[in-house]
Amino acid sequence: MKTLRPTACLLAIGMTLAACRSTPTAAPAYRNASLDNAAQVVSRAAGDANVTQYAPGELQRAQEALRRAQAAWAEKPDPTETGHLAYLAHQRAAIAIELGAQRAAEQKIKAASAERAQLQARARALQEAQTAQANQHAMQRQNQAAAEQRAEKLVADMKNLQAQNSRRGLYITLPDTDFRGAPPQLRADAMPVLDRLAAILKEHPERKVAVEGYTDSKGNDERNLELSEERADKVRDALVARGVSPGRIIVRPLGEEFPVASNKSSAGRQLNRRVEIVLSDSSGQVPERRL
Amino acid sequence: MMRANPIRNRRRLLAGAAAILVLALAGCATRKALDTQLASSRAAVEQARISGARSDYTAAQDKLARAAAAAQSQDNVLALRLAEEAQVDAELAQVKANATRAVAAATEVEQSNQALRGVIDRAATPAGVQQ
Repeated sequence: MKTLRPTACLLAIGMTLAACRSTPTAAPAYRNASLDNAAQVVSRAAGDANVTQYAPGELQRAQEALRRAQAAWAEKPDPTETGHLAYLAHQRAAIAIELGAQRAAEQKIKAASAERAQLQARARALQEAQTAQANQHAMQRQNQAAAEQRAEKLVADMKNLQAQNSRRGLYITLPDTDFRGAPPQLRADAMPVLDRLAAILKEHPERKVAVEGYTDSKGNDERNLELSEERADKVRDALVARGVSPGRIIVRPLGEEFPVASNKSSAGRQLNRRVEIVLSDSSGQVPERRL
Repeated sequence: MMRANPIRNRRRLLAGAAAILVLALAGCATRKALDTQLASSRAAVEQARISGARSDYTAAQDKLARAAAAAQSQDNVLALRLAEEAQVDAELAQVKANATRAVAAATEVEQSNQALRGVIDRAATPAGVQQ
């Protein structure tokens, strides 16, 4: 018994202290549910990034309301008054949360609207570029079709002049019978062909012609070259007289080169004496004649 | 005994008058505070109605009506409480309506941006360009 006494004393002192600690001066002796509930919502608002950024004033009001409710509860535990003040704090915190959400959304709208203007401009620019490209493609197709049509018509027109195909291009042959005399003159028979050729060249300004003079193998080479040049010159002059620019006519005297028939017979020699007019390609080029 | 002492009597009278005055002033003060609060609550409820608030709005309206009734029957404490609650309810109703609208608008503008991005992506992809 003697040993128990001090223990009992200590226990009594401890219990008294514990009782002291739970007196309402430090914290409410018992809790109020609506106050706890309000504190929970206020703390949720305080932890909401939107609230701290966009509604700090409302949060402060909620915190003040909560403090008022807590102070009232500590001073006088009246459940009705405390419940009322806690309700105000709870609603203030809810207002802070909603206001934070509202302003965050408004901020989003602001940013998104600015972005929308940029996006719209980009979309418009892209669509315009696409339209321009489509137009360009259509124009190119149209031009190509027109060019093809022109080229087809040119071939047809040349074929009407008995033009023939060769590796150098389409060419017309003016036979020996189109010329007479020395120095040579063009006969009237050749004129309709040259008229029509001049008309074709007028329609196709991008084209040029090479006028190539040929002879048979009789006589000396130099004289033959001269003769072929004289004949080719006559043809050039006739074309120039019909409005073809001299710059578009290339004269090529080729003498007795490139016979089209045997020079052994007089009929063959007559065929070899000729002028060939070769139409250039669309870039104005007529390849030199090679074997 | 008291009647025998006129000085005391006068003191009591003075004290009573002072008490009545204080009470009357306090009553005036609470009555004035209540009227101010009622006006402010009414304005908040009206604002909430204008902003198209639905949830919490009826609660605010109901509390305001009960506050007015309590004020009518001189229950100033209850009237003040109800009016204060009506005000926060109305404010919450209004801010909720505004927040809902703002969030919906934000979603809409962001969706429209997404659609625009789709248009741009399709237009910028070479495969998407005509063939």
